[in-house]
Amino acid sequence: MKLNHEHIEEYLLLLADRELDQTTEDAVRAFVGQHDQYKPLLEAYLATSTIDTDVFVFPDKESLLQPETAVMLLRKMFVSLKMAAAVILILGLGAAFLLMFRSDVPSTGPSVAAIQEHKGKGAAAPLNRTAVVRPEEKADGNNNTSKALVKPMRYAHKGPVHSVAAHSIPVARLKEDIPAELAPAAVAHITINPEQQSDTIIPEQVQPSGVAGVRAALPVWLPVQEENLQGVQDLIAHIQVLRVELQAKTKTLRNAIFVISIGDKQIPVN
Amino acid sequence: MTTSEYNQCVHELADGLYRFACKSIGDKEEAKDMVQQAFTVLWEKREEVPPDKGKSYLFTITYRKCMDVHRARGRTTDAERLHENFLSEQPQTSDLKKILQKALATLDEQSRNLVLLKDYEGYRYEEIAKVTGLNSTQVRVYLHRARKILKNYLVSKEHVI
Repeated sequence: MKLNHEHIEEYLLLLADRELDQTTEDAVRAFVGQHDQYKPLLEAYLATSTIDTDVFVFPDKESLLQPETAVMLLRKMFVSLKMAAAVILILGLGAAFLLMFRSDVPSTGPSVAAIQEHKGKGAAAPLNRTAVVRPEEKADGNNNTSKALVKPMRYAHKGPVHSVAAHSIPVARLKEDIPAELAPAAVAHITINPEQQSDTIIPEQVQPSGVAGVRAALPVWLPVQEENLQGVQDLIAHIQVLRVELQAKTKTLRNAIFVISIGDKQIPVN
Repeated sequence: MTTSEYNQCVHELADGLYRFACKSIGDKEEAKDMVQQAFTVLWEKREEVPPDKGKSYLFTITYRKCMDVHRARGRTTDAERLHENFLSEQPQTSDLKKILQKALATLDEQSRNLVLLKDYEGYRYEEIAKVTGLNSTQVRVYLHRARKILKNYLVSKEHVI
């Protein structure tokens, strides 16, 4: 931008109107500084744009105001409450649906036998994870009963502890085939003396297994929920499957004849 | 625009609107009526006016009412007399302000309103154009003419500054 004598007055008016950016305003003031004849003109134009500082107060301003009734205030609140209620309702329905869904799912996973059968079929069909293992009862001579648990108890410290025969049975059948080195901890039933009901489990009588074993390992004060035990049952079943496979492979390895090739010679190794 | 937003407009703009109307037409009572009418119209049309357009809406209404008053009055000398009476009622006004306000009274209604919107309310050319219905070039030209008139009044022999 180049200022000259022809249009400087236009810029002076724009400056008095406060419509110039800072850079242009500085350039105009610099030009006026270099040409003193324009100083009075600039001062006169600036005097015409004196900002009024007089205070004007509208009398009786309250007469202009409109009342906000309780209904209007409630409407304002209602809009925000409506949104909050919708969010809470959606969350509540979702939580209720989840709880209902979990309570309908059977408490046990597939048994080891079912998993073995599934493997024998070559995993052609999806495993039925909703198979329910039937409980069994076993009585010994001491009139102690060990009852199988269909549903594990919710809290470990309430009431007597029952054995989980439902899961121990398949493992017990395979006990004879298990090599000694790979024998798992003996799956024992936790027997109950009806005369002795205790919140705690006597360690020397118990080699915990399955759900009862997990529960026994937990602190007494810890509330154990059904769905956590359900996951543990599934894990136990899978571990037992893996154990069976490992046993089979161990047996195979024992009977295998290794042939080591060193150069042209072949040396059998038992 | 809700009721609370309307009430907020009353608190923020009533005084400035009153000042604009007073300086434009020079009559306090008429300016008060004009402001009340402007807010009444805003209240009736509140559902059509967004909250951020309240100021320009009110000043547009007041500007048009001021122009209507000037047209109804007819002769300019009457307006000048009114302005002089109005100025005499203002307390503690400096000499420059008094002379400037007298100079304002010599302008026509449209130029005076443009100067008031520019210098007293701080509007830019585009905002003044929206309020008055002119385009920004017209606003700039009319304002520059008005400022030259005011400058000539201020530097004349009777009113040397």
